Amino acid sequence: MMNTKAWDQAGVRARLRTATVGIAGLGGLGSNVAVALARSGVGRLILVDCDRVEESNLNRQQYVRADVGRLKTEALVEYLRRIDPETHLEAHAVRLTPDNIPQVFAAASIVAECLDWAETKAMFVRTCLETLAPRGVKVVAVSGLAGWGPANAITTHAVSPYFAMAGDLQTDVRTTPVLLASRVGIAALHEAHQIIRWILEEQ
Amino acid sequence: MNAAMIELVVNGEQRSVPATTTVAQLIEAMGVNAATVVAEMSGTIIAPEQFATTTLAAGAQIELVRFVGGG
Repeated sequence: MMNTKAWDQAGVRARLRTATVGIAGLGGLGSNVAVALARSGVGRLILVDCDRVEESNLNRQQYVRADVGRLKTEALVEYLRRIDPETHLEAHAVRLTPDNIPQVFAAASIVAECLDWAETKAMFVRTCLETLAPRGVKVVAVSGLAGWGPANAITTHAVSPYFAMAGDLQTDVRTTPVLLASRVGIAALHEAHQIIRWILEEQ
Repeated sequence: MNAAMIELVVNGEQRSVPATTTVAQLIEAMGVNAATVVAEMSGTIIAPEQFATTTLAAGAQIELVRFVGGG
């Protein structure tokens, strides 16, 4: 639904400033979601990943050669600060489990699932819907971004008012072991855009 | 004699299944690994350990969201 609020660019940015968004995983999805949200002016980001930057990440993730070996949280925080020093950044270099998810994302009103493996994705979304959604937290997740299939096969759809899914829902990296900056980036920006729409459409 | 059938909605589509069908059987019929599925029955998340013991309720709204890898 088209909102009727007469916001201009500055008004939208001011509204986004009030939001806190959690990002689970800082790879091809999460690093791109974080950059889009920071550039848009989202006020506070909770960034979670326990991995270090590897050379194989550079084809699609928001890191540079000099970052190889650094914690993704550390490298991304440094980059996001250069984009907007006003963004409040909270980084956790931890592995997410059903036990720590509620506390790590305690301050978030929206969380983005940006993890790698199907089982971990399902565990994360299940935990969020069980523990965070009952207090109004919204969740966006991705399934299906591998390969070089059509850009337009990637869509966003609402499973419920508090749960949205992006992706082509089919292409598994296990059977199609190709991840491209273009298609992964499209899926990431679907997530980022869903988050921005939720923030702007909140009452 | 066949088991009584019940009507329910799976991922937005009307389905008719035997009354004793479990969440695990429904997921198995989709041909996917249960560990990659988020299952919700009428707004309640079902834990994977309960897939085999949770029987589908008549009139239930079931959402089975399946994840594939890549991120």
